[in-house]
Amino acid sequence: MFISPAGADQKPPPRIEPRAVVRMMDNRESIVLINVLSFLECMDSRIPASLCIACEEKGEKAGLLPRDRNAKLVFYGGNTPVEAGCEIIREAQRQGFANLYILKGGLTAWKRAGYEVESVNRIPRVLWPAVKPGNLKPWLNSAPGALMIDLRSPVAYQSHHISGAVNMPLVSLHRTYQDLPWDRPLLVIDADGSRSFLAASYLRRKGFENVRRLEGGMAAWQTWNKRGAP
Amino acid sequence: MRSRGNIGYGLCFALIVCLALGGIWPAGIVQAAGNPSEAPRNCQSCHADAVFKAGFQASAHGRNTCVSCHADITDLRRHMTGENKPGPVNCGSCHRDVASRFKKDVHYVKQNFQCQDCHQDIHSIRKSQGGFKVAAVENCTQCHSREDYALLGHSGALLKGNADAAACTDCHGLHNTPYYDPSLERDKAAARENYTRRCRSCHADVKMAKRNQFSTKTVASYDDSYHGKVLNIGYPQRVAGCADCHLGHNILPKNDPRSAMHPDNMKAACKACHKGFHDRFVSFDPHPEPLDPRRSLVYYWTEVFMIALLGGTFAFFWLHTILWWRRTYSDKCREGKAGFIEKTTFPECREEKQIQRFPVRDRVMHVLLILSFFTLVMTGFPIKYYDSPWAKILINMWGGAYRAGLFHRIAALVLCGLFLYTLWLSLQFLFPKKQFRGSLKRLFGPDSLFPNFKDLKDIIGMFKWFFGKEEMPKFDRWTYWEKFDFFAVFWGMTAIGGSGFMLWFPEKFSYLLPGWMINVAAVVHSEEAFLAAIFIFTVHFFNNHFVPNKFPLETNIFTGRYRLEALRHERPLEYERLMAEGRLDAMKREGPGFWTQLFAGAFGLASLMLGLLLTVLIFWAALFY
Repeated sequence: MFISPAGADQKPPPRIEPRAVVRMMDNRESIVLINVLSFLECMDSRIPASLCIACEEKGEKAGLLPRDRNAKLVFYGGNTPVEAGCEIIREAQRQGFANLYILKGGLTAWKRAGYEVESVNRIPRVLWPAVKPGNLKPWLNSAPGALMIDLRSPVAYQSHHISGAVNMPLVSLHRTYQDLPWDRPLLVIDADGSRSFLAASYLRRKGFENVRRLEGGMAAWQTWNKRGAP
Repeated sequence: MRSRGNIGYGLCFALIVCLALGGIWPAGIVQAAGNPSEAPRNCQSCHADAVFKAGFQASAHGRNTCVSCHADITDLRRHMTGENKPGPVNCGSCHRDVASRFKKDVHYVKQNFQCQDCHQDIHSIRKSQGGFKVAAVENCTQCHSREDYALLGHSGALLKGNADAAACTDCHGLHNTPYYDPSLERDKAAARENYTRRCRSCHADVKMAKRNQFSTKTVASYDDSYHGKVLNIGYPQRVAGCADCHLGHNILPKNDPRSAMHPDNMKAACKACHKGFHDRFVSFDPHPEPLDPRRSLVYYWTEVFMIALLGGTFAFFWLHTILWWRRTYSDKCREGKAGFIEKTTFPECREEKQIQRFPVRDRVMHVLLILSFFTLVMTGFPIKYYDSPWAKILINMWGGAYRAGLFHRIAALVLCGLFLYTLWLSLQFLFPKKQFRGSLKRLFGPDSLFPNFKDLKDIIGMFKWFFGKEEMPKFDRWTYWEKFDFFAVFWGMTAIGGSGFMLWFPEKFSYLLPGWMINVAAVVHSEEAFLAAIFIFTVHFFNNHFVPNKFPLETNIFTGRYRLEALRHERPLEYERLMAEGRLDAMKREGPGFWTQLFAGAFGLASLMLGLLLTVLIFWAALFY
């Protein structure tokens, strides 16, 4: 006997081009844009008037979904495709929303198409070189006591992570950063290197002085490991 | 634990001081305080850091007032009390062009960078003493580590003082660094095209090359390689650009073990695109210079041989053609003036006086040969002359370079099939019913296409006839030029087909041959293609169609029929032989029907016209590009 979670058997929503979303807006259709990235990323840059509900936040923020079940919900992330297991999308399917879409290419495609974004609470970037996977060991040796922070979801972290890294998902970093040690060098690690810059900048702005990021994230780390260390 | 309260207290203290000063300030300044556009001096009363005082005055923006940028501070009193906080500065209000380009920049698109993220010293920004390029490297390496991206190669040379060396911005652009999504094929192709173009902009610059002692031949030789030609024709998806092999950063001499071009690393460089090759594959030269014997004697002599072959073949046959045309033309004129020629522009009427010269099988084979040959020429020559104006038009007619390549390979397989079938027919001709006896006689006999001693005598006799020294030689079933045509296809198929398969499956051939043989194959394939196309479109067309007594079209290869009168005049030995053997009557047929003649005329003339058009295009490209 197999029991699948509610909504698991649902098909993923169709992908929609940025210009199609703009056409819906121009036609004054009932459309709600939902940024499924972390709160920090969403505040930093989002399509104007989007809701910020991260994939993992189905319980806390599911109430923000509109009451009109016929409203068109367009979910978007960054450049990487919104994961099939994105909980808030499943939640919307469970709640009976009929018109769900995923923005093809996410916020990156939106920007590339030349459409505007808004920054509600932008994090000024702090410029600091990243650590390449090949230089990780020398860097760890040169920075005793360094702490590696894996910003991915607990599921991704559990499937594989760099030995010694602790999991602190980006989705809740704005609430949990105070638990980090102030006096230790930090190395932030994400899936592909595209989200750690913002996290490192955020931590630096919050007063952590030595924050580096792993260039290319776990993907680059794995590629480097496959090729073999020189 | 680090204290995080100091900055906040400092700001509060500054605000209190400012407010206090506002209360006791001389009346003139207090009045001015309501109008922030008066002078930066008012702002500096509170923003008293050196960076806002001396730094800003000397900066690139020093002639502006504070509110030139912080335009949303409209009421200084409210600003001082914290009610009118400035919003983000819109640099684009002045730097419109930069702001517009930055909308496509990877730093904005992927990381939501704003101007102030890179220009953090915006209040004291000034022209770099080391020059723009050095400043760009310094700025980029704040995030992109110096060790990995700048210390060696181009930027390394720049930092050592070579102003010609490329800064980050020379390759990646400034404020318009393109974003390429590695998961999208079209983005990967666009990146390859862009960066190859960027490399070319310096490495093909003769003056820069002279100053820096490098050769512009590097670019020319890449452009002449398969990689370069296919990329230039507009199909960068499947070929290597500069950065695929040399990688983007820290480009080093190939004797440096860290260089991607070091012999130990070449395999990895090739492996990025090619799979399943033997180690000897890496001896392929991606920058071949066939006319430089110092680079490779093998390419050099291959090229010399091919040039000699082309030169010799064309010199002989074009001379032959011109002399033949002159002789036949003068004969025709003489006969015309004497009133011997019956002028008709219509096809021959249906008549009994024709014989069967080609069976249906041969006619179908020739039509297939024509179709496949034209396909090969029209899909291959745009690659050979990628920079000619017609190349891309022709490629686009096929639906792009990928489809053109597909058609090229299909046509090649059709031609290979014809080649093998002809080989089979030749063996059947020589050894009918597996009879070996008499095969030599058949080989050198009058029905054979194999050259014999009489052909040599016919060549000499023909030249004597051109000059009016002798009568035209009497030919049997096959003339010497027809035999040459037949063997040219055989020779051509071996050379062009063999080299074509090597270029098609280079990795597999590396198990049999060294990688540099791919370079040899490229030379042979290209030159032999030129020889085949131009020979067919000039010499073959003339010998069989444009001779004044056949002009404009000889249709017997399409109709299969040959006029008895033509047989008697053009191949008297065959005519006499058939008469003597009593076989002539059995070969007589009714003339071709209307539809056969219509097809033969339309298809034949269309082929001739297309061939002549292609000849013009090929010579245009060969002479001017």
